[in-house]
Amino acid sequence: MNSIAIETESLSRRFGELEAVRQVNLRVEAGQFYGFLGPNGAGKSTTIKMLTGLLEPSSGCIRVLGLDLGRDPLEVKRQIGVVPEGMALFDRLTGPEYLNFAGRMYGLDRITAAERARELLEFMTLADRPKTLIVDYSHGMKKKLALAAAVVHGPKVLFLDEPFEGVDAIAAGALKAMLNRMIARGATIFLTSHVLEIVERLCSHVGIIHQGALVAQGSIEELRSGVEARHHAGRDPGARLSLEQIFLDIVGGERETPPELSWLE
Amino acid sequence: MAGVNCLENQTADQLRLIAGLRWRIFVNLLRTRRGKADLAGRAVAGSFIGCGALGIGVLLAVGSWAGFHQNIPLLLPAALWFVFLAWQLLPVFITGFGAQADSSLLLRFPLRYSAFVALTLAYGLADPVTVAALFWLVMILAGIAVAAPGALLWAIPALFLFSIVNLLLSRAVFAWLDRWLARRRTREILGIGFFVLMMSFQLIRPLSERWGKRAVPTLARLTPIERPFPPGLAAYAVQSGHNGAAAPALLGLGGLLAFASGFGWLLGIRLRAQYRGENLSEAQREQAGRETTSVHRSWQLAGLSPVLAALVEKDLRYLLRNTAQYLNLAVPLILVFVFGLNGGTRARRSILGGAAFFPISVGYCLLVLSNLVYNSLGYDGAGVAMLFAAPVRFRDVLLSKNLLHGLLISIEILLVSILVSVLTGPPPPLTVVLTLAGALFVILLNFAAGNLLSLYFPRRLQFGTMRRQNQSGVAALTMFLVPGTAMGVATGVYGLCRWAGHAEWAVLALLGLAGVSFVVYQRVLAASCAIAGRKRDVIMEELCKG
Repeated sequence: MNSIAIETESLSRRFGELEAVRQVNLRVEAGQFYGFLGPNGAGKSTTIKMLTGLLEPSSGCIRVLGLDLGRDPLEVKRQIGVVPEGMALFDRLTGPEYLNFAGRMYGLDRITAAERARELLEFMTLADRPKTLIVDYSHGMKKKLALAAAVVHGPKVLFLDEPFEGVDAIAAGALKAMLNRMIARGATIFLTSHVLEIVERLCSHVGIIHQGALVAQGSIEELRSGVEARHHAGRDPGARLSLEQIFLDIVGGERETPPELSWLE
Repeated sequence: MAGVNCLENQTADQLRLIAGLRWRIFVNLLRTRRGKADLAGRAVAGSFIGCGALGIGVLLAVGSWAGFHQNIPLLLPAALWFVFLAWQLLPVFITGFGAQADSSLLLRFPLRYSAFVALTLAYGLADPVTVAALFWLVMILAGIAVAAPGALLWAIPALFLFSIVNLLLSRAVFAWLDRWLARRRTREILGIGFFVLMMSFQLIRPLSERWGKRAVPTLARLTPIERPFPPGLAAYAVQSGHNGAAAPALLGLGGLLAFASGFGWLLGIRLRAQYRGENLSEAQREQAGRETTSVHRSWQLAGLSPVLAALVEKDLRYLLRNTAQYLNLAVPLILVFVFGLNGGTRARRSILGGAAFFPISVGYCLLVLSNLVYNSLGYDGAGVAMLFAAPVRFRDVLLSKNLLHGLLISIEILLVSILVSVLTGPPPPLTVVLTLAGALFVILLNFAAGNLLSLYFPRRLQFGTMRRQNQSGVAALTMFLVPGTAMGVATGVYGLCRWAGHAEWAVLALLGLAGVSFVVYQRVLAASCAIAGRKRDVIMEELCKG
């Protein structure tokens, strides 16, 4: 098995004059739980779309499990699962129908697809509404269903764009447990999230993108050491930096003092 | 606080701001080339509808003129009843099964109640049906002015009050219907209601041919019954005033005023509730009792790969859950039935009963069903991202849609054949073969063009909705141009062969053309993966939005 699950070389994407992603060199090893962070508009979703074949890069190269996405997109797509930004649901199907469909699209036979759909619906606590159309699901239910569809074929690499957004605490707990079990079995997970506490608790490695450029990458411990080394003077030696502090330090959030709004005083 | 306008000025400012907002939205739509193309397409479609409204307006003007000039008292109330019913029913059915604008979007701002009411009425006035109805009333007024200028003294206030009554009633109906229109299923049921209404208009002619002579006396007997209602009151006021009976005329105007007050009061109740923050959005209905898990296996379709079978199954499920598509499939059959019934006169019977009725019916069927083909990804919505993320060739996605649409068109043609045979007798065998060969040519060409348009000009379509579909203007034009042109070519080929004295040669020629269109179709299908890859940003941006 290839030890590098996801690798990009000089990955860039332009939208007219705007360079949304510039020269990104990502490296995610197999079995890593990788959190991809960045402020709003930094290029997270654009990057994840390119990594999953939903958006064509302007330049650069993407390799997933050693396969070139540009040259062999179908084979790459067989190996990965995706929960994209808009969840990609066919909302006039029922949950069971959609999971069955997703399984068949990823090459599962009819019996396996139906069996896995049933298991996933029970796992995601969606089993009690087999006849409800997805359009009538709540946001959280849709999110859970999208996650179920992403894992129905047992992908080796899972890409999740804001997977916990709108999911209740109970379901989030179950999802985290599922994702950790996937990691334990050797899968690689690449996720974006705005909730840094979740990323800190789940992920072993993070990449931080800012204004389209990858500004930091490594294990959380490595990033913490780097930040602590830069700010050695004046710090309490026993205090441990949170991921939020590391993130703000790297993207410069702490240094920027927000301007005052005089009319709100 | 500094910089904040005084409250009295706010309502006018807010109304100006909202008008400016609507204008900005319109201008921003024109920023892209696609937006401009859409506007052009809509302008063409709108001009056809405008011509229809203009024609009705002329008829109403002539009717009201004749009512006074020829002294036929039935004509004015009949014209006003037509305007009343069109004004009240068409917007309810058309917008009723479309998604409703959520007033709560505006209520998050400090909007005064008076501004909210003014906006509700302004939205009502901007409705195309209302614009058309007001135009019809002006035309009725014009007819009266030409025939009996003296009646204008009563006609102007009567029709003004009549339009106020209609505006308030239509807004009140909308406001009250909001409760149940908030539900998707209700909107879809109303869609069927609209369809039945539209189809029933088509039956007017055959029914009037059969029972038309009895209609006028029946309508005359209904006059006392209809008089207490707004159209009857308006007509009564105008006719009484014209005849010099001022008291009954004033009574009519008073009745209209009472109706306006009543409808205004009903509207006020609902608007106050909405203003206070009533939420009528698509609420999640809790199901009574828990259902058991049942995951059925997906279909296995002979001759199709598992992926193609899954795609066809998904598309068929989508089709079966889309009431608007049922209408699309039923329209050709019903209109063929209506045309068949309409073949009352000898001249028409010679055409309809002849060999031409079958090819005309099939041609009409193909034209109507082009709608399915030219934006085939439209109902997939955000799900299209899944098709791009999955290990599936886009060729298979389009092929599955073409297979399903091909099957539907075949069934439709079979039903049309049966209907034509029942109504006008079975068409000659040569006509059947010629028609099917021509249909094959048109269908394959339609699929080729439809697949290209689906990739280049995708538009997200709403389920159970026919109006406000935001269909691409380019696709809307092409879906008539391509099959129309292909049918023209097929007819030309047939005409040439017939002129040469060998109509049967046209079968071979049309099959040859079908062969050519098959090659074109295959080329398009082969290129679709590359096109979809290039256009995936546009496709997803368009279909995943909202």
